[in-house]
Amino acid sequence: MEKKSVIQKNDSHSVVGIIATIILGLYSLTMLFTVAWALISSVKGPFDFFDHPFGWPEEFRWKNYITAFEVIGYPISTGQGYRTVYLFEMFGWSFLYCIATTIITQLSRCCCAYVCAKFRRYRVARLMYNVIIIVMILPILGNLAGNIRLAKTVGYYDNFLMHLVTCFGFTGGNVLIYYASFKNVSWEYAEAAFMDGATHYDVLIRIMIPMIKTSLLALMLLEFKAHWNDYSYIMIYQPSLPNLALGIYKMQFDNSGLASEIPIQLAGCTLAIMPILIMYLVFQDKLIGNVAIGGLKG
Amino acid sequence: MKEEKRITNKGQIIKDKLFIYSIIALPVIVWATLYIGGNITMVLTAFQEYDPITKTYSFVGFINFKEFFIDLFNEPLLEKSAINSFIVYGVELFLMMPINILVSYCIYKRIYGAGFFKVVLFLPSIISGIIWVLLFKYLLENGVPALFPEIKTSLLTNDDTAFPIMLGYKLWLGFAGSMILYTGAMSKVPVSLVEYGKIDGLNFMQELWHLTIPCIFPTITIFLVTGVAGIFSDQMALYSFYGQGAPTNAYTFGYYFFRAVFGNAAKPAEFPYASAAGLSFTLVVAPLTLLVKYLLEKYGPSVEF
Repeated sequence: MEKKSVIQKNDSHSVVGIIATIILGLYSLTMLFTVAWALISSVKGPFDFFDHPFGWPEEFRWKNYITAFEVIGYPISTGQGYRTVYLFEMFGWSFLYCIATTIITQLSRCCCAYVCAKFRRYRVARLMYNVIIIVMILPILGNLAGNIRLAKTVGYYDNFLMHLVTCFGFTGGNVLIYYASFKNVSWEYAEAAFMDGATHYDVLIRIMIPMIKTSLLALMLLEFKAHWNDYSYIMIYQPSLPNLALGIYKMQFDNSGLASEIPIQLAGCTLAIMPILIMYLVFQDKLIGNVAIGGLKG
Repeated sequence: MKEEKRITNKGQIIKDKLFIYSIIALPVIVWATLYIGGNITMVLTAFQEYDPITKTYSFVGFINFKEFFIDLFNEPLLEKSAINSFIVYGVELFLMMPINILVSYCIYKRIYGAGFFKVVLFLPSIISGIIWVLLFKYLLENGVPALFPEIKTSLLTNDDTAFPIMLGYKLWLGFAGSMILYTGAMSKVPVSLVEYGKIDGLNFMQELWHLTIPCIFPTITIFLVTGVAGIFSDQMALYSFYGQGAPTNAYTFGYYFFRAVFGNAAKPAEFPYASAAGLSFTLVVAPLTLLVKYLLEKYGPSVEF
């Protein structure tokens, strides 16, 4: 490992490496500037913001954050009329939706990838793997209309529990990552466990999944992040359970009242970023460099 | 003894199969319902029309296809969407992908400040796309007039500037795209290979070209193969920026059809037309994707380690 670092360091300190550092440094500045600008603007008053978009706040209006909780809302139909879901409730839905969806989605894919990787002697495992590859390669376009019709027919449209059932599956790019991870785990561990009387479930839960826990954790974090940030799925399929991303999306089109004030909207954005940013800062070492995907050969 | 082993094996096969089916049963049923069911519904919808009075669909043959092909060659908005979609794909393929690989390589090679860049460059992937949209939008609409008072109109709503701005936004946010997968693949390149490269005198860029890219080619293949469909599905964050009202000069196929199927402008009556368009695109893209995969596997570098 140390040897690898030495190899990498030697040439990364070349002229090209230094130029790359400068370019990435400038790019990083644009990123950080944008985030910092939003943070500073989120505590400005509306006139202060329009008069001095790049200036320091004349007065720090921390109450913008409280106001954001009170005014950023998303109207939903209740059957008898409409009610507005505010930011606090959206946070709750986001957490519930992301945690439940992530666990089901990733565990079902992880277990199916294990079957594909370790039971290739059975036709069903080989068939499943080929289906995963075909579904990944073969693009089917314009099926949104068909999916919406199906969702309404089958009953998972605007139904959270049914949505959780639809999270089960075995396709997608993540399966190939799990597959590649399981392929690297020796089957000898399983054989030793079988000799001690372990069942297939014991081997999967107590040996195999812990062996790939780095990939599992990384993919779960990515899945959580993807759901936290996605507004379109909720907008299309679960409109009565608005998450934070949907609330933020809708907020930009508000053109009256306090919710239309940009500093308050930026305060809402900052609040929405926080959980995912904290999660990233805590787990960033687990995310980068720990996920590798195999090829597309069936 | 032999018989006992055979019976044991049979028992083992049953145990194995029970385990396999218990794991895959629900995921397969759900997949079959959603994926196969959804696509069959799309195909059926493509041959139907919607009656808003009875709220039912009925079969009408190829009318939707005919209407779509007439529009494709006569409707200026679809023509514009086609041109923009191919531009976006070209930018993604010839500009963004090489940049993404290069950036990931720099992180992998631990250039000065790599630890810091790793955190910052991943921000676009961590922070929600819709939040970036808002930050970019408000910065552009409030910051640009403050810095350049001579610019009187909004760059985002101006028909001439909207598409270049959208492309710029895509480039900016996608600068370090797919870094996780690229760095993950690069970290699997054997140290011994890198050492051989050093002994052979490969410099920073030569190592990338002659050693790293061939080693991570299976990962690159995935992006190249799955990216073909992006021509017809990428909406370039247009819906996030504009909702239903994007400037017509910025339209892409992805936005055009998403807007038709979903949102305020969408009606179930639009579903058959959108499905027919989607099916037509699929018939073009599917063989094209398979051809790309075949060519990459046949002529691309083949490395095993």
